[in-house]
Amino acid sequence: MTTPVGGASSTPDEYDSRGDTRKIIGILAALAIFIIILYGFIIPLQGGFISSTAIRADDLQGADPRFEEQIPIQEVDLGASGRSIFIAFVMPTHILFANLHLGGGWVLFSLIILYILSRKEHYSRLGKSVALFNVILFSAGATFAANGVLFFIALYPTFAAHAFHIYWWPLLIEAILFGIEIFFVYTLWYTWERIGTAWHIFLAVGYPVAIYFQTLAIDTLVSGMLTPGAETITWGAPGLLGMPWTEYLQWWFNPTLWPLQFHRVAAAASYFGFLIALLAMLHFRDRADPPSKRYWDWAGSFGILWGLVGLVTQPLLGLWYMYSIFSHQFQAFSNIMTGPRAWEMLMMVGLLSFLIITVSVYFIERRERLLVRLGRRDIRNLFRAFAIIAAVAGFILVQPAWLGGIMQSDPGTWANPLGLMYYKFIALLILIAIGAITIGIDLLILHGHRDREWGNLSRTSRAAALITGVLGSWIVIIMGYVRESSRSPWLFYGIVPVPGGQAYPTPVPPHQIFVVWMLSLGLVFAVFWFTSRVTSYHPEQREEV
Amino acid sequence: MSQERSRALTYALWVAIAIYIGIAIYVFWHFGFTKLPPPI
Repeated sequence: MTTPVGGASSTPDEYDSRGDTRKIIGILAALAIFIIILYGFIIPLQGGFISSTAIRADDLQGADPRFEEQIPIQEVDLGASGRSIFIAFVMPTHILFANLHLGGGWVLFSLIILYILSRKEHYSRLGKSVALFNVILFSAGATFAANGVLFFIALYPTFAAHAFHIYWWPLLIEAILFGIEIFFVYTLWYTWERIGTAWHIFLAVGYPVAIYFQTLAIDTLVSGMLTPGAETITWGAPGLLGMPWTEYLQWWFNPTLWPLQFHRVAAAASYFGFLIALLAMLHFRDRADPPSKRYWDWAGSFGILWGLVGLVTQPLLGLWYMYSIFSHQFQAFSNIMTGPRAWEMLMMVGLLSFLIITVSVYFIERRERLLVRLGRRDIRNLFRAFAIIAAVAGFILVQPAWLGGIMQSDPGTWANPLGLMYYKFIALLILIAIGAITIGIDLLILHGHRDREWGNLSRTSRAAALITGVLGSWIVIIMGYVRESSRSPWLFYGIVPVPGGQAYPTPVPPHQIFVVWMLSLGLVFAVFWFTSRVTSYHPEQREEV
Repeated sequence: MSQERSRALTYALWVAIAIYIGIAIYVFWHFGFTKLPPPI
């Protein structure tokens, strides 16, 4: 039980400072039931355990022999999917570190601007903590990136040779931007409060912009693997350009580059916001002094709002992305929407729904005391309605469209009347509206009234914020898995196959990828928490936040 | 910030949120309902 820190006591029948822990138990139970039904029922009945290598065996027969592996396949003693498991562990873990910068850069920028405009110390303190956190964890992200490159070269040499050759120039730019990025963020932290406002803004803008272009550089490759710029790879003469300039542009600026790029930025901002909320809740529990409790309560709320902003933009960008895949790589679209990988989309929208529900519970619990004081029963009821409506929308979103066949169009499949895409579009729109209106209420109606309440954080709202941090991170690595498995069994779609044919099926099977996700999340959260303990600046005196 | 400016900013942000929801409806209509394959 959390004892309220300061503030007036509330009417017992109106407000309970412990919060309603049944809501958290309900969310966790529903999440567990969802995962059990998905893995025990939906995946087997949609052919999710059958590899794409087996399903697309005929397509693989037509692969150009030039792109088959020329040297013996390097196994890693983790079974038939061992090589894929190595990549599936190292790259998503790298993404979780890299997104600290892609999303964190913009959050840091916002904190600096807010500090300059308001001169309120807590913006500066959180900004400085974020900067130091990212400075220290830059090396972890870079280490996993370097390991990923090593694994690609050793485990997929033919693919690596072509990929690093086609994308030499973007990858060179990416490498240079590593240096520029660390210069910006390190200088920003080191010179904090020692330089003028103009230089501060310059560094605060330069940092996220450098990461944006660095991500764009690597996204040329990542998106090009799904929607290659040509039907085959044709090399020219030695020189600065290995193929005509116009062909390079087709490969680099392929049809899914921009939707992937913008979706990644939104997802990273959301992830970073929810991560701030999670770490803030752990600090809140750790710190005994009231100023720190007030400060970390505020930081958690700030993180939740950033998480929500990123979350409500993702379905729009995701739809643009899906339409690009539909238009330019229809078979991959079929794999993930109407085929054996559709369960991954269900899992993704399921977690999205759980995020909106959990955020609604956070606001119900976190603002309860304030709303009682203000006499705003209308907003109290609205937040409660949002949680219920989000749960209904989530129930629609996780409905499988069909059961009993690998493809939705297979004869004899059972079509789920609740699984129509039209219903899901409406459900997604409802979640977007709930998220956007919640942001508006908290920022525009309650903003001026929240200050007295900081530090009065119930156990339920703390638990809700912790859950958003976990779900916000999990959904990021699921998104990567969806994209990668959509193009299985190809590395460059329709051109370079995953080497080894039927002996090395892809993608990583559902049970194994679940273990990989848990290991990856466990590792990064341990690193984040221990790093956060030494990088967080706490208030040294009572102040208004 | 004066109260009048603060109120104007609040209204402007509410309008921005309403516009965003409108854009979301348009994007879902444009891509989801009319261009992606019809539900079976």
